[in-house]
Amino acid sequence: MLGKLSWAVIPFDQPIPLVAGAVVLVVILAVLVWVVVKGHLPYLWEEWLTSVDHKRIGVMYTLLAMVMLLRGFSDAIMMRTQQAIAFQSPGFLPPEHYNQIFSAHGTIMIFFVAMPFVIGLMNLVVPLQLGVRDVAFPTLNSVGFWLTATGALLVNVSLVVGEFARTGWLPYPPLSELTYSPGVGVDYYLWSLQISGVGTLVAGINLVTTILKVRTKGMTYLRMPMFCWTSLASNLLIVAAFPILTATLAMLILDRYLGFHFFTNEAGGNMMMFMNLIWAWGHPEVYILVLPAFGSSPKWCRRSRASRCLDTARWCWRPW
Amino acid sequence: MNILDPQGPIAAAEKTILIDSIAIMLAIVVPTIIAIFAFAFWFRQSNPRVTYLPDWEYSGRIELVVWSIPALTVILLGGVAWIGAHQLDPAKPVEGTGQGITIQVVSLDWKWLFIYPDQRVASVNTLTVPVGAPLNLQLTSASVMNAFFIPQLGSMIYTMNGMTTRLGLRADTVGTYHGLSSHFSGDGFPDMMFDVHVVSQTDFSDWATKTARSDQALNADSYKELIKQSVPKEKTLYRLTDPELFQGIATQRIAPGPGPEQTAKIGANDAR
Repeated sequence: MLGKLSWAVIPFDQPIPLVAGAVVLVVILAVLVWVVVKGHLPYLWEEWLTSVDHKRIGVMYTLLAMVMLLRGFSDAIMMRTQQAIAFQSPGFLPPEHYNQIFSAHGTIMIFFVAMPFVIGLMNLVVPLQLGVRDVAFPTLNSVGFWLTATGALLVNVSLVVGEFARTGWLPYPPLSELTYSPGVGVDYYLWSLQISGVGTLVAGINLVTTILKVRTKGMTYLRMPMFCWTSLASNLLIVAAFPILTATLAMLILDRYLGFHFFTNEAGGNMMMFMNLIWAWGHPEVYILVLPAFGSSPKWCRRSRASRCLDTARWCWRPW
Repeated sequence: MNILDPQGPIAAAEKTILIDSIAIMLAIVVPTIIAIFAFAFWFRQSNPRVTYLPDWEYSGRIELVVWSIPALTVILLGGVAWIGAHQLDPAKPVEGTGQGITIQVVSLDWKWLFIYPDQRVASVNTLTVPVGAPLNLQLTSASVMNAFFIPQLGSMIYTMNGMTTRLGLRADTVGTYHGLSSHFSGDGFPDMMFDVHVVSQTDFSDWATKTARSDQALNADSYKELIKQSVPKEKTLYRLTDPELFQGIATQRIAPGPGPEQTAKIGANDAR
């Protein structure tokens, strides 16, 4: 019933992930105990965890990004330490461990730090700038956040149960196929990205609908602040690009689980198709991340000047 | 960085493109950085000669400058890249002295196999080439994707199973250079390095004749050992007894590499 799951998947011989996992568990337990003992549980549950308020969800997205930043940062420190001491010596990390760290670092920093941070910021700010009470689909917003959080959780579970992918932040086949990566690492990668990818798509649809359909009275397009415009562009790109990611990873899942041959060496599979598809998502992804950041710049570098419609219109035509 | 010390025409042309594009970009970047500090200094609060225009909104001249200079830069950079990309098309044969050498390159888990079909020799993790001769490389992979790269000779190119890529190179100076895989290919990836020995034309013939008498033969049987995942300690030289070996690998007549060996304790083995 448990399939590959047995005590053997927990790396008792590897102190680094075990200690890291133990520390995280202790911290989580301590916070939980503190919350329960102090009687904050009903507040936490009702006002935050089950909240559909866009500001709270925005804050939770940002908190998730900050927590995952810690993980990504410690991965980065381990990588750099290994590189510094591994000159003409094996260093302290064997290749199979190092490869997991650099794969997890890239995956976490893009999908579970940069994305939640940007989406959190848009969630927090866009409805306020549009002058509306909430996004178009508040419950869907909560669903999107918790899907993202689930993906992040799955990545962290792989630290102590099984392994993470050893194939880089984008799992290029045929290395990521069953023949060359028979372990569960690539599966962790695929499932966490599929789950959080749906969450991102949901958030994108939500914000596009909000910006197009639920602006306050008198908030015409040309009166919208710059940040709403770049958020609109960013979310349109999410809606266009994330289904490609989901479809590409779904094909890799079919290859691994059901013996399909989309990207394998054998039976006419073509690994170049994966490259083309994943970058059809990957190229828009950089704009998804950077457009809201660009759009926020007029907000923080210009003081106390009412935004004019002409001004916004001219900003919008600036090429990125 | 040895890409800045090219030893062949391709690497030299690529170095020129690299330097040119950096210079073109710096022509924008440096004045912009200077302008930021100059503007910040000029418009400081204590400067009495500055005019304060809180309602200023539009200047055609500024628009002209901020649009035309980046547009010209993009056109110039694009032109440099476009022309360079066509001139340095990897598949294009390179001119050179002496007879062209065909080298068939196979990336394996985790080593490089170089087959010289005309000389009937082969080598692992060491590449010997005559100076000045056009090198016609045909590349494929026996398992996962890799990228073949000799920084001082130029042009990295991918190797993929079931496909053949082509690369024309030339080495102009006798010496020993460094080659590597520049695309991540699994646990043995950091060891996918090879030496490149550029020798005189006569030394190359001597090397080929000597290697052709090697007691190690490369054929379908010895290839079966090479294809297993390993990092070889030795740089073995082979005499080639199966001249169709590369075609067999590239057309998948010979099955691709088996990947990690399946052990009974697969769960334990896979855990870190």
